[in-house]
Amino acid sequence: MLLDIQQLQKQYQGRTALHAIDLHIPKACIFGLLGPNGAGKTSLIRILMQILKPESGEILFQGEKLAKKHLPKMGYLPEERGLYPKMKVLEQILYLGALRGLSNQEAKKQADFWLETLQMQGWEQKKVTELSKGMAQKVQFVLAVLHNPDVLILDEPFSGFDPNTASLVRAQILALKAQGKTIILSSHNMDSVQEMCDYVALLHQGNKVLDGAMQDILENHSEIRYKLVLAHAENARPILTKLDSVSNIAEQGNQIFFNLTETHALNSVLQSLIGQNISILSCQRMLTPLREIFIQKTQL
Amino acid sequence: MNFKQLFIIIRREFLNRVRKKSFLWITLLSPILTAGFLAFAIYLGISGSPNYNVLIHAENQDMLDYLQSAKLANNEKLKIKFFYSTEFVAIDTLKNSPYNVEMSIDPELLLNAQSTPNRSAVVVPLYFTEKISAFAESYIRTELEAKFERLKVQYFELRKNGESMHLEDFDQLKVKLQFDPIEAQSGEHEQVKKERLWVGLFLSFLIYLFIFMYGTHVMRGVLEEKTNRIVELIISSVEPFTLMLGKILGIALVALTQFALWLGLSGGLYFLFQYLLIPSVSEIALQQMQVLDAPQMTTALAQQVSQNGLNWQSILAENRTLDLIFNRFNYGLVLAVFLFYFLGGYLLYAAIFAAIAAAVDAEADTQQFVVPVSMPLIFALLLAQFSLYNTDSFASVFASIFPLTSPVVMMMRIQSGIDSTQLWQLWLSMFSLVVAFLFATWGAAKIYRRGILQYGTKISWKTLFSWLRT
Repeated sequence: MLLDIQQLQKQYQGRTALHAIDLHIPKACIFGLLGPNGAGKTSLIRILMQILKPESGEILFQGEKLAKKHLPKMGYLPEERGLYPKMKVLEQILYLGALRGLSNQEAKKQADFWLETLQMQGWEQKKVTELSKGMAQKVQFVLAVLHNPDVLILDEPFSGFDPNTASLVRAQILALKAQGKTIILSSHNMDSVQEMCDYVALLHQGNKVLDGAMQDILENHSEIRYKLVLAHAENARPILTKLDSVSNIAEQGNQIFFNLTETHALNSVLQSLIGQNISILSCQRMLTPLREIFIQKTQL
Repeated sequence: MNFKQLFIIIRREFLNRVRKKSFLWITLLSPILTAGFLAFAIYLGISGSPNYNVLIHAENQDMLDYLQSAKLANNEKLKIKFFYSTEFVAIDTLKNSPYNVEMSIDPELLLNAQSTPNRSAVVVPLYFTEKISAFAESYIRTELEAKFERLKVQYFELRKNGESMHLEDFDQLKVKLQFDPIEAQSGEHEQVKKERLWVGLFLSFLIYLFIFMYGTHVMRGVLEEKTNRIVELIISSVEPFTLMLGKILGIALVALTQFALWLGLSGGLYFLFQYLLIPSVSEIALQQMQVLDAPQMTTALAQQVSQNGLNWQSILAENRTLDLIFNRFNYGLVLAVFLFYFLGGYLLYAAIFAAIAAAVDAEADTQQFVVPVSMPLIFALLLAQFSLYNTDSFASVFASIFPLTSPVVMMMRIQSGIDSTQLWQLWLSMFSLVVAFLFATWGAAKIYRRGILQYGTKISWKTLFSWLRT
């Protein structure tokens, strides 16, 4: 386990922002931190970055108590982010690099790599005031990954990006995961989270209301409903109707949808169809989108 | 231009500011506080003055009798009492006598005062062991002038034997005195000290200006990082205290660099003035003086110059201002004290300004905190001006030790010369400034840490103090 968060509690002038939160974040994964505004995500992230101190609880970083010495291993892209408007792009990168302990040479090397990767060559000497919002966001992303951290905390990393840039950044996040980095991703973009995250935790009013592996969460919060794509869907309906384990059948073109009483019943359903010479082109479990689970859980 | 829109904008801008409670408070309190400060400063300037036992000496018994009968009025408020004697107390024993101020009146000099060219004042040496405040000096001078004028009227009436007086007679009656206060122990002329005090006042003003100027730089810098939202990224890498201190010290370095450049340039100009410009200017001046039949001393200088060539020291001796600039300053000491008080004052106020900026969201919101915090500094400048007249009053001494005012006031006092018995005040002042700076930085760091990520919350003094306690 990379990060072990135990019984973490945070209060602001009598208001509890985090109620005894427990979270376990494994290595080399993308961990989604979800929740509506005011759920306590930013407080949790700021505690992880040691900007805020918790009232109680403990955080272990690779088994050690989280301390300042771990900060160089952590990268951070805050939600409320900005740059020095009068500084040039490269100057900002070198300055932040130096603050994180990189030599000028190393910082320059990293800056070259990331500016090229994010298609920003030739922008080094531009002042921030000359950058578009998207360009400035890219620079902020570079500042977060510059020192090659083991853990990358990204708070709303896609806000302000056009689809092309968002896709470019998404690809970089996946590449970092492939290199063994751990990414903690906080976002309101549920489709991105569902697509990218391996694990997810949902906070609501300072409480953890859900956490676990993404696939498990989706399956546990979905009906057992399948979609079959068939050569001739109309022939399948009479066969399915006769089966006790099947209910709620619906047809749409060459697709047929149905619910099962249990997942194990799928084999016998498929065997029945194959036995009647029904040609099955594909079979897929229909999962409730994360967006809907989020709404269900946070409307309580 | 659409005037309707213009009006709407003007209305919004106006009401936005006028409706603020802070506007009301500042508007109501400013005149009251200014008047109060002024009155307080004047009061303090006077209140600390000692008793003055002024001995008036005249060899001429008639003159003394007259002065005694004319009754130079003692002044209770300024604590001035006059005494008369035909015996002059030797200056070096004045300290052991019941008197602390002594002057010698020469009746001839007074009666012939009108013969002085251009009615310039009659200079009377005034020996003292207790520094005379400007208020006291002015009172003694006016009293004497009035009494001498009455004496002269009697004298003229006697001489004119009942004839009516003319306007030119009146001119001859007017007496204009000028004291030359001299410290009895050291023999140092107060005038020289006063010139130094003006320089002190200038340096005090410079410190005041620099503290405000560079303190505002710090405030803007902190606010810029906060409003740009880059601060969260920075403090995820460095401690907020480090960031705050780095900013304060970085700007201090800017100030010091500026000083160093100014010093370098001034040094260059000093050199230029001393070795290149003065000789040529003074040569022309000497020629003019000789043509105009200048006073004896200048002619002596001209002779000296013609004998020995142009001598820098002789020029200095002749020119008071140049003499003050080039001869009478211990530049090393002045510079060291100036740097200490500038840095100490700046660090103290910059920490406070940084905390204020960290607590608020916009520059407009800083006003309610900056105005009260700046008051001691403004008061110090006011007091420094009154210290010109009485550098050893209780208020001056207190303000030169109290850290929020000491950078401005001590700079002023140090120019009047702090003697060895007062040296503890300087050390205490320096010590308290260092302690205050450490305390302010500790408090500012607490407020900074709490405030820097706080957005959209209305911050009051109460909030700031609660942050200090946590």
